Amino acid sequence: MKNLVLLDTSSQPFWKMPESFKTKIQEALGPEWAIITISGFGGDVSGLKLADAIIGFPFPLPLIRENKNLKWVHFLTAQVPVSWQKAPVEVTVTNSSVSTSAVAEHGLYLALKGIRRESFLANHHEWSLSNYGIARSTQALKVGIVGLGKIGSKLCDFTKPLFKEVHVLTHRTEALEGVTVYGHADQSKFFGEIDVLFLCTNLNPQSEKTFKSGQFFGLLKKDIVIVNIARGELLNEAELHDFLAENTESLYLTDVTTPEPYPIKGILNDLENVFISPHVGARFHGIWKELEGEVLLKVKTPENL
Amino acid sequence: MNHEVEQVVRVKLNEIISGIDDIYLSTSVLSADSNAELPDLGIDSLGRITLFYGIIDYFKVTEDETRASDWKKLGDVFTFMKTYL
Repeated sequence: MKNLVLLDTSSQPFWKMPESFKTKIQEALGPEWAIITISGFGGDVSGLKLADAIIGFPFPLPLIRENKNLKWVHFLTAQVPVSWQKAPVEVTVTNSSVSTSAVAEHGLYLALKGIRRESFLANHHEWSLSNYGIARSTQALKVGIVGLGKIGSKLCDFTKPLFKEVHVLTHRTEALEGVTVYGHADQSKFFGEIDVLFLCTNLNPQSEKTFKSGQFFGLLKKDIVIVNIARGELLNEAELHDFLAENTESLYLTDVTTPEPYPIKGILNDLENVFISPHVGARFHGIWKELEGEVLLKVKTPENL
Repeated sequence: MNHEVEQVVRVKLNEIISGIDDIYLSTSVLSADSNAELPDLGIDSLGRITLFYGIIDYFKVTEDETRASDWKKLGDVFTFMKTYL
């Protein structure tokens, strides 16, 4: 008998695995497999040491160190966690196209929230003009998108009809219609041009160099709108805080923080020009059906059974 | 914990954390308040387990990861580490 561990460890009700998801996986695996469900890390996680395969949300790699049977791990995320990139087993992730549109839409929503100068601390149950500053016109603004993966590409599609110009910072070299492409050698020029900046790139050596060299914030316009739908760790939080505190016309709207949930005492909560949504970009009706489809493809691959 | 011992623990913990990919701290453990809650420093529940394994690997000891479930503040981590100095 082989063991598949389902890591159903999210504390959020939306992200708990539906029973239909588990049932479909069992049907696909057949009777030679037993499913062990782990619901949280406060209880018994010994199943991880027995697993031949694991599906679920990321967890600390050392928890499988005593497991000699484990063949593959499939995370229900868009990226392989940094610490798993050197794991001694095959690690795959859900194809990021499952949530691409939803995340890009959320990014656009955050950007427009900033551009319309919504007051983030206002009581929106009060009909008050002070709930909003004076909006800027998208037709006068230049968008910059860092990262031309699936989400960055979708954002290009969304922003081209709305904004004055769309610029992209990417390692890719192909020309894109209607978009000005910059390589990293020209990143200073890129950042200096931009009014609305979308962060859609992975955490990797290049992005560390770009955002954490100590020079990044000095390149930006003082009234820039920064939208982060990538990773909270992309930016140095202390430097971000100082930039936003000094440049009160700038805005930071993010769906990602480190850690999550973002603590009430986190320094970004001191600022009125910060808006944090609780990592909901990929949360949309129907996502579990799409995740199920992706996982069943994985499970039904003969070499994985 | 006496000041000197705590300083030694802080330095070792800083060394351990610098070798862990998935932990990003809002404040360095060299200067953070020992009463700081771990989530406020950037260590969530999974980060706590990751840190636990980093510590036991550093000291080359065997412990059950449920020991980490008691850690609420940075000082709890110091207390755990002190036993292996």
